[in-house]
Order: sequence, then C-alpha cells, then structure tokens
Amino acid sequence: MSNRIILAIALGLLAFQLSFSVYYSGRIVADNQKYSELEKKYAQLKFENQNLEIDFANKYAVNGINSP
Amino acid sequence: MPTNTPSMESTRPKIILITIYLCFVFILAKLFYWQIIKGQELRDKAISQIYKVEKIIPQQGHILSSDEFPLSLDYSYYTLAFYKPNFTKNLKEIMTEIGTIKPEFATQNAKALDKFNNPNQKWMEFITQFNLDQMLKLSKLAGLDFTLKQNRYYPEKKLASNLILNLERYYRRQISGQIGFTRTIIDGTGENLLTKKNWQKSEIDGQNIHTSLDRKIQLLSENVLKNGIEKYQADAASLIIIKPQSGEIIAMASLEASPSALITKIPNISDLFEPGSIFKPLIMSSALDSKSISSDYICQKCNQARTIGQYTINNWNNEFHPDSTLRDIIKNSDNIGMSYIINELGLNKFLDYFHRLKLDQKTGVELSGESISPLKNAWPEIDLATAAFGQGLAINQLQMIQAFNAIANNGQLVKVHLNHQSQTETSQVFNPETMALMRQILSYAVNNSPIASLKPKDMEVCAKSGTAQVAVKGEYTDSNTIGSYIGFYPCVNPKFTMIVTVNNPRSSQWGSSTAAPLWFELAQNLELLL
Repeated sequence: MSNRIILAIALGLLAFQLSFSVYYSGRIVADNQKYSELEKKYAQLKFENQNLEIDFANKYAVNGINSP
Repeated sequence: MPTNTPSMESTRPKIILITIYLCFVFILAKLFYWQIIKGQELRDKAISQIYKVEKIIPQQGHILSSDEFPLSLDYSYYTLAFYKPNFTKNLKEIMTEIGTIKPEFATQNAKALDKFNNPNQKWMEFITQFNLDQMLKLSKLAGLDFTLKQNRYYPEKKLASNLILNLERYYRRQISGQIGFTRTIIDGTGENLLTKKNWQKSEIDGQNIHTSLDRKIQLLSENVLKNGIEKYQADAASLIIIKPQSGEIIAMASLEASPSALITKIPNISDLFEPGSIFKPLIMSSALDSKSISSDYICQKCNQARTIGQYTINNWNNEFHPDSTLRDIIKNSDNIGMSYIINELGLNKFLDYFHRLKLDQKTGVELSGESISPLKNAWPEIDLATAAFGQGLAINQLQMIQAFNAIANNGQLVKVHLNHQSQTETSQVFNPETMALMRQILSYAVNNSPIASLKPKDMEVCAKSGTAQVAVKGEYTDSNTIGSYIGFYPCVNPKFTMIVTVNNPRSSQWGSSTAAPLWFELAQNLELLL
C-alpha cells in the first residue's frame, strides 16, 4: 500500500515538473519574443524621433536648410 | 638459459618507480601550466564563450539656444560589414539583394569591394549608411553584420560653430552620458539562454545644455561682422552682446578674413588686446567712486602735452583741451586728462579696482581656452599714466565687457556666462550714484561727438570708442590697430551691453569710424529683437 502511495507521489511530482517546465518555458519564450518586438519598436521610435527632430530643426533653422 | 643478474633485478623496480615519479611530475607541471600560468586566459576565454557583453549607447545631450532650439542634434545609422566565412550565398547574389535596397552601395564602395574579392580578405567594413528598415531587411542575410553609429548634426550649419564645438568640449561628460552594458548567457550557437539570469547596467543619457545664445541675434551679429571685415578691409572682427542684469551672453562672434584652422578657438576669450580708450570710463569710475576726484573735476593742465621722463603723452589728434571737465575728457577721449585722473587715483587704488573688476582673473565662462595676462609687478609713473587710456595692459574681450557692464548695472559686476542654468554671481564694485553720473558723462560724450550722426535721434546710448595700437616687436605702430566700441542701450535699465572690435582695419584706423558704425547697425536691430 505504502509503495503505491510513494509511486503516486513520484508520478504526481513528475507530472507537475513536466507541466511546470512546459508552461514556464513557453512563457519565457513568449516574453522574450515580446521583449524583442518592443526593443525593435523602441529602436524604430528612436529613429523616428531623431528624424522628426532633424525635420523640425531644418524647418525652423534661421541659417538656411540643411540635412545630414 | 640466461638468467637476470641480482643487480639488474634490483634496478628494474627503481626505473619503474622513477618513471612513475616523472610521470607525476610531468602531470603536475602540466596542471600547473594550464591552471596557474594559462588559468586566467582560459577562464577569460570560457567566460567569453558563456557570456555575451553588448554596449548600450546612450543618447547624447544637445546644445540648446535661448529659445530651446537644438543647435546640435544626433542622427543614427548603421554601417555594414561582410564576413565571408559566414556567407551562405555568393557575393553576387548578396550584392543584388543589397542593390535592391541601396542602389548606390556598389558604386560607393567600389574600391573596398575590389579588395574584398581577394580570397585572403575575409572581413570588410563599408562606408554606406543604412537606416533601421534597410538594416532589418538585410540582416536576414548570413555573413552581413551591422553596427549602430551616431553622428553629430548642426541644424544651423556654421552659425556659432566654434562656440558650439567648444561648449561640447567643455561639457563633454554631461553631454555624452554613460554607456550601458548587457551581459547575457549564451549557448554553443551564440543564442541567449532564456532561462538564465541576465545582467544589465542601463545607459544614462547625456544632458542638454541650455545656453543663453539667441540664434537670431547671433546670425545678425555674424552677418554684420562679415560685412564689416569686407567694408573696412580688416583682418578680423569680434563682438559680444550680454544681458546687463544677468550677465547672460546673447551673442558672441569672431570672424577672421582668413579663418583659423583651429575650429574651437574663440578669439573673444583667447586673444588678448590692449583695450585703449574704451578703458577710460573704468578709470574715471574708479577715481570718482574712491573720491580721488570730485564730479566737478577740471583738468587744469590739459592745455599741453604731458611729459614723464623721456616719454610724452599726447592726444590722438594732437589737440589740447584746456580746463576740460569730466564730460569733455570722455567726449574728446583726452589721454592727457586721463593720465592726470589716474595720478589722483594712485597705483594702489587702481590695482584694487582692477582686481574688483576681475580684470586680473579669468571670467570663468563655460568655454575652454580663456587667456589672461598676469599683471606686472613694477609700475613706473609712465606705465600708470598710459594705463589710464588702456595701454600697457592686456585683457580679453569678455573681461572688458564684464567690467564695463558694471557701469550699466549700477556698479554691480555680474559674472558673464553662457549656460542659462548657471547661477548669477554678483559683486558691488562702484556705488550706484557714481554710476548714474558716469552714465550721464557717457551719454553726453555720445551725443556731442561725431558718432552722434550714426545713431537715431531718439536712441539714448552710453558708449565709448577706442583705438588701441598693437605692439609689434615691442613698439607701437600706427599701421596695426584695433578699433573698438563698447556701450549699452538704453542708458537706464539697459537691454544689452555690447562690445565690437575690428582688428587692423585698413580703410580707417579709428574705432569711431569702424567699430562704432557696426555697433549702431546692430543696436538698431537689437532694439527690435530684445
């Protein structure tokens, strides 16, 4: 009887570990993908912001139009 | 049947034992070599295979004008490098794909591509700049490596370029910020191990520097100086405009007929000059303030040249003005009268006011390269007399305007500065009553001299012209002069204090004919802009 209980606990733990690993590895991958996308978006916005700043500066410069 | 002799039997185990010992020593030596001698190198190599360290480049700060307009900006771009061993396509196919995104790439990098065709050349970086979208499209190709780079961009082109570059150098640490790092644990293929803890030190972006420079006035100033150099056939011309109450520098320009190779040099602070007659109001203010002379002083010896030892002090036009009042002395720019006034002031008080006007020390403006001249120790009578009209001492243009501005500012000396966020530092040098009298004298001098024709009738200006001879090889020459004009407008609660100097003008040597017209041309525009 006790052997069966120990076996059940061991199998339960195994199942828990497997499901835990599958769940969290999935989340880590998903979060990482999200982070990469956000990082890409941030870089894009940074570029866009720089271009807008340059456009603004060119538009309102008092010493003629210039471009990098 | 041969048998081993007893001696052979006893040496064999010894040989085996020695061999075993030697093996141990060899293993120990090898372990020592790999673990102690090569240990650090191997550890570093192992760490570099486990960890990937990447820099996070911070955003640089900008130089801003008084209206918060960026006088310097950054733009980012990517540069491309090829690494041949990682190519999965041949170069021709790669070039075709790059050509669809950046058609000029092949022509821009013809030489580098030629070199890259050499089988021994495995890596090559190219000059073409790619934007983010182009980089993302091309980074899918194996063997292509992109590097993020930043360049400085100046929207106002060459406007105040030496000032901006100098400010960037002065505030280098604040502007550039701090680079950040990320350290990630990687697997054998170089990919990040997501389950491991990564480490990051965030970047710190650079700070913006808010200057008091007014770009419209700066542009106007540079244009006026440029035209002045041509008109008066001068070697160079400089000016500084400040706000009298705060000491903020609104414009600072210096143009040369043959521009200097030093792009960050600012002659307004690095070049010393003898101020000449523009120094007279400071000496007169000192004498009045210290009560060495009274407001009704009359020069009774101004009817002839003054002789001190072997030297003769004369006026610029060799004319004499008997019984000159203080007003007349400034109006006529009377060297003889001033030499008697400084006599009344005396050396000790002169040196005291010289120090209180901070003419013996750097202004401390937020720029690098400021020069000052040490004050001499011995002051013979003739040297003190010539100091009354600004000869025999050298200061920079910024020191001069800072000191003269005390007259505009009711005797309060305000530290000049370019950074809008710098705290205003003040010290009382002259008493306000003396300054009110001095302003009357200056205003009278402007209104009753030929200069009056340069200004609109309703414009009340307190100013003084000067012409300083430049000493060449220890002797003054008439052919090399610096004409200057310094003053403020209006005389009460002034909006600006301005100094203009013209170096070696060939059309006329006098400051009243060269620097003064430029001063009034600018002043009329400033009246509208400020």
